[in-house]
Amino acid sequence: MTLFLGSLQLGLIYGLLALGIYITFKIMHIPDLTADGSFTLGLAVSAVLASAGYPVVGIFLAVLAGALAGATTGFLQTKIAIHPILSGIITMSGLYSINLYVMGARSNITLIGTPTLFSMARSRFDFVDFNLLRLVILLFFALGLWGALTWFFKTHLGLSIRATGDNEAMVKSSSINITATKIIAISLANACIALSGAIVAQYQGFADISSGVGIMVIGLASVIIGELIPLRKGVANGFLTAILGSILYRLMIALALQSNLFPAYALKLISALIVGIALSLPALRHYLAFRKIRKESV
Amino acid sequence: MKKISVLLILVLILTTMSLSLFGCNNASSQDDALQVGIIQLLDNGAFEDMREGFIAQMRSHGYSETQLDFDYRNAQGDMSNLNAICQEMVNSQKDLIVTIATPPTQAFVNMESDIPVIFISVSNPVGAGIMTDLNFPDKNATGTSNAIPIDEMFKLSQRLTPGMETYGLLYNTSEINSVTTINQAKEYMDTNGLSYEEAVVTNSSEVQQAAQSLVGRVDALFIPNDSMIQSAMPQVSEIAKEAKIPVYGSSAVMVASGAFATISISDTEIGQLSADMAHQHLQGTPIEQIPAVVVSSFTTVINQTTADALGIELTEDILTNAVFLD
Amino acid sequence: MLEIINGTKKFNEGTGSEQTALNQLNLKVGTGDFLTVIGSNGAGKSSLMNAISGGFYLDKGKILLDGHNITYLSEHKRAKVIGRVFQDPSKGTAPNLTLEENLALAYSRSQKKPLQIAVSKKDQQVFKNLLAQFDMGLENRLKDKTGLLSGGQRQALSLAMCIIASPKLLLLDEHTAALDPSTAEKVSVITDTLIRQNGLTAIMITHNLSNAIKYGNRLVMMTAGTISTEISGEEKQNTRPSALMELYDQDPVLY
Repeated sequence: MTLFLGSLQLGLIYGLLALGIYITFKIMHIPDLTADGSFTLGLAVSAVLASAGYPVVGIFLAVLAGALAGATTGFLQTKIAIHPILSGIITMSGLYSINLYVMGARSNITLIGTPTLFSMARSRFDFVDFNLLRLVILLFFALGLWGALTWFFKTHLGLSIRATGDNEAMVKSSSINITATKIIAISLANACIALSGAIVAQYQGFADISSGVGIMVIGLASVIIGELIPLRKGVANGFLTAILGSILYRLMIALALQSNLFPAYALKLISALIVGIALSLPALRHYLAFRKIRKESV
Repeated sequence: MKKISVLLILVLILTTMSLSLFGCNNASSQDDALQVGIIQLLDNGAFEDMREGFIAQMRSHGYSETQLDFDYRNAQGDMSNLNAICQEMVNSQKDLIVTIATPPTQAFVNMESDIPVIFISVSNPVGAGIMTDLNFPDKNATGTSNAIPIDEMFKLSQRLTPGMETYGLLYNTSEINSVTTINQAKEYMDTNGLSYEEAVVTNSSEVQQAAQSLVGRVDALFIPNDSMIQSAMPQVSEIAKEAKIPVYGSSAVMVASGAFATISISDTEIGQLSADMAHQHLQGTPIEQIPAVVVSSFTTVINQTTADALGIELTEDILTNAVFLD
Repeated sequence: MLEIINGTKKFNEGTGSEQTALNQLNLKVGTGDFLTVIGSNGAGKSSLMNAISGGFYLDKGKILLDGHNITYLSEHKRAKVIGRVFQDPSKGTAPNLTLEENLALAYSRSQKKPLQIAVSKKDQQVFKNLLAQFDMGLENRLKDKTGLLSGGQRQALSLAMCIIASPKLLLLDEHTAALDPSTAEKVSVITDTLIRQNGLTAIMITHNLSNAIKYGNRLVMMTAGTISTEISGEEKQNTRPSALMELYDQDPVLY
């Protein structure tokens, strides 16, 4: 059961990442490339503080750091009027050096043998199977963040942010300050992404500077796969699909891993194919419906 | 459409679950072949040589294909996949796990499973948390460390090209092996009155400019056991050759690609050494009793063409003891 | 309550396509005035709206609102007290938010608590009552997404959003121009009713000459960036659309 439970766990951890990407990608419609950098920042902060003996503080500070990274991108986009994609790239590039600095100019920190959130929970609840315990902890984080974001986006501030992403022209000429809403949205998104990185570090037992490479793609894939899930549209359900999409994506990878039909180097191709097929379902359905109509009209 | 989606999702979940369970139960009742999982983080020449060296050596120890089955997985640079691969290996209850370089080793040791680990080329096992003492593996993992013999390297440099005072350090900051080695090199140089200039890269596209930036500022280049620079060595050695700067690399592969000289062990050999340790374990020695090996058999390897291009005269004694590549 | 003094705005100054949008324009609007604005294309009507709302800043001149100099105040700060309905129905509402969410957005302008839940039961009742006045059935569709509404319904919602924010000044920028005749008529009637009911001060641009005469207490015609004619009171009520049409024909072409 290790693989199945492990996939669920990974799905929940990267679900936090997906929640962050959901905010910038689906609510704000802004392409934000800060993710690779802010994820690693969260990872680095969490690892450094955990190895110093403060795993929980590490997670809090990681979230703050992520928010700061997001605020930087937001600032570049709004006040300095740099194109959104470039703003994200600038922050992400700068963060590479900052992350190395945070890690003390090492590219790898080990947490094997130092107290982490998970090891602390294990010593407290040693009567529970460790895999199950980790799943519960991760569920707590995922559901907690989901609840918090759902609440936030139903407040006035959250509504203003959603409106900014929906019809910027309208919001610009209303009394809402779109500079503020954009910066807050991007900060919040990257805080979630950094949280994901922080938990990954303590989950996998080490922090490596390359851990954030390709994280943006993983987040986007999770969000887009989540769109396939048939739930009634709404703020709460939207966020839920991000988490579920992440879990489904991990299950797809697990499936790809278990098949021995393909050589090792084909892993990414296989997972890309699986994702591609899943995403082509809407187009397939349209085509089949069209064929049906044509048939009946003959 | 909704129904199809829900159905597909359920199928996905059930398939993965059942395969996962099936893997759990089935592994033990499989045919007698030993199941060995090999985990690699990404693709490059160095890792490939290590892996193939390992496999070839295992075969030559007498484990035929029916007796020993290799399951090789590559995370292709994606750390999240690395975790999934480790989970899958535990799930399918392998008999032995072989990890190449630091991140896969850390990821697997962190899983705290019963499956023993042989690691290939982790330059600082204690620093990586994989064991507390090189001589007493305590986390069910042992293997080879490719720590570069720094002092021997610089002594070689003084012998072959005396008078070098400033060294250029070219490496990839994302590889912990490189960073560890570079730090050791800096310590050595500080104690021995040598100075250095650094040029770092994070991406293979940056190598050319990094190398060029060192021209004119340094007398020689030192490249640690860095897989990214190794892949780009042809470029680096061209630039160095033109500027008449000798490049001291950390593997025979680097020298074959144009670096001037090295004093180290080949990646293939490291793989073979790790295979010997794996063989020792499979014959019955428990992991705790197999100390980690810091590889120390050194051959001086020199590139003749590069030597000629740099106008370096080689003494009789070097000519007889070194291995020459062009 | 609103005063524009010598307002001037030029576009593309110094180039071959220089245009004077507003040319030393002077206008005084008193509290409770309902001004209709007519004029040919390019006369400066929309520029007048943009100058007042803050869409651009004047090159020369001053704008005073209740005595305060707002000439260089940003658009979103002015939007707290100036409401605006655009010609394009899609510009005034957020299509993926529901009707009640759009109204809540507008309603929150008067509130100071950003972390309060946006749509409360009390607010829902206020929204229902307001929308019921439009007689379009919108009060039963509070939870529908705005994108599903027709153009006329979206304009009605935009209008409702402006009203609910209790603005000092309401700007209507040809807001019925994109609607079919029957819906346009409905929206015009409701506009007039709501303005008079709430005692709002309003400026309405329209190409519909009979509406320009029927609604409001003052009619103003713009030509080449200034006000060329003003009619008010009884004289206004007795004017014929054909008379206004003649004024149009006399208007020299701006470019």
